[in-house]
Amino acid sequence: MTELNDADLVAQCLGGDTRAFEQLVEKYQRPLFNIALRMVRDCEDARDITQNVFIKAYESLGIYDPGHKLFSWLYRIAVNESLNWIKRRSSFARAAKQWLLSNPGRVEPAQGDAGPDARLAKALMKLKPEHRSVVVLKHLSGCSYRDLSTILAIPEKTVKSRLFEARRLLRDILSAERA
Amino acid sequence: MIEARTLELIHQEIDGENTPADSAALRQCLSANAEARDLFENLRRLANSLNHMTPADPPGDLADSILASIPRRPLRVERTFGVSRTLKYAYAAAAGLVLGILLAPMLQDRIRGGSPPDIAKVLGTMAGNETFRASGAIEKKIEAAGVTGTWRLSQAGQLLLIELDLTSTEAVEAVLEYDTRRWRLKGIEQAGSAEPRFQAADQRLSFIHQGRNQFRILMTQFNKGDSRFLWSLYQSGALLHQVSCSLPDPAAAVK
Repeated sequence: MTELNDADLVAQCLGGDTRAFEQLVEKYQRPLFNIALRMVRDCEDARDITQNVFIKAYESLGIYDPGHKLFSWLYRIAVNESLNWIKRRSSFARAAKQWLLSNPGRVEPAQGDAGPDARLAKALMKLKPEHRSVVVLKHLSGCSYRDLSTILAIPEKTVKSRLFEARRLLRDILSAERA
Repeated sequence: MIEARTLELIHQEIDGENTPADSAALRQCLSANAEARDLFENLRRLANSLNHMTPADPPGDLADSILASIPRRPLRVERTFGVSRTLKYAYAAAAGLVLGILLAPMLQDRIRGGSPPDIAKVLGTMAGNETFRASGAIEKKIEAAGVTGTWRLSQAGQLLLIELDLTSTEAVEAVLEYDTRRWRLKGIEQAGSAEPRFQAADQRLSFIHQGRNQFRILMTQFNKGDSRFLWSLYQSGALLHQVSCSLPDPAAAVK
C-alpha cells in the first residue's frame, strides 16, 4: 500500500473521504498529545485538548493553506488550544490547587511523574506558557527555528530570544532545586 | 564575561542551527573563554535531557473518540475571491466591532437574567450542554428561609455536570460533598452577581454565596462505583438546607 502524503490526505478529506482523516489522526495524535501534555501536565486535559485540535482542524481543513506544512498548522492549533486551556483554568486555579493540596493521596499522578523526567516536567511547568511552548516545540517536537516562527507566528529573531531566555530560566529553576 | 554574539552561537550550536563558519567561530570563542565553555556544557546537558524526555503514549481510545466526535458533514472549502488575508481580518474585525456594539446590551441582559455560558467552554471539554440534556437529569429544588434555587445533575458517560442556580438574600455557605476516590473536579464556571470564593477541602467543595448565581461544576469519574453527592447550605454555621443524590456507576450504565 502506498503511503499518502499530508497534502493528498487533506485533499481526500475535502473530497469527503473520512478514512483519510483517520490516517491523519493516526499519524499526528501522538505528537499533538505530547505537546498538550507537556503544556498542561495533565493526561486527561491533554486528551481533551488533542481532541479539540483534531475537531478544529477537521472543521477548518477547507481554509488550510497547502503552501504550509500540515504539521506546523496542527502544532499551532495545539499550542493555541493549550494556551487557551491554561487561561480558562486560571479562573478556578485557586480552588483546584487547594483541592489538590488537600487530596494528595487521591490524585492520580500526572503522566511522567514517576519517571526520570519528573524533575524536568515540573520545572517546565514553572515557565510562563509562552516560554514553555517554545521549549516544548523545540526539544520535544524537534522543530527548527523556521518551523517555530511559522507555528508561533513570530519572527525567527523573537523565536531565538524567547528560546534562549526559556532555557536560561529552566537552568536557573533546576539549579535552585538542586541547591 | 560572555558576549551576546557568543551566547547566540552557543544556543544555535545546541539547536543545530549554526553554519559551519558559525561553529568554527564558536570553537574559537570557547577555547579562549572558560565561562563560555561551562555555559555551553551546561546548556548542552539541559538540551540533551529535554530532547530525551520520554514521549507519552496517547490514551488507547483517543483516536476512536476523535473520530466519533468529528461532524459528519461535507467539509466546506472557503472561497476568498482574491481578497487578501489581511483585508479579510480587517473586515472580520470591523464586522465583529459592529456586532459587538449591537449585541452588547442584549448580552448584558442575558447575564443579568442568569443565562449561563455553554458547558463546552468549561476547560475545553468536548461535551456541550446538549450532550448532558440528552442524557436526562436529576433536578431538585432548594427552598429554605431566604434561599431558593435548583440543583441539577446530568451525566454523559463518565462526565458529570452539576448545575446550581441559587438566590439568597443573605450570605450562605454552599457545600458540595462527594467521593474523591471516584470523582475528580474538572472545572467550575460561574455566571451571576458576585465573584464566589471557592474552597476545596477533604471531599468537599464550598463557596460563600449571596445574590443570584449560576454555577456549572464539571466532574469526571476515574474510578468505577456508585456515588453519592450531598449539597448543604449553611448560614452563620447553621444548616439551612440539605439534599443528597446517589448515582449509579455511569461507566457501568454506558456499557
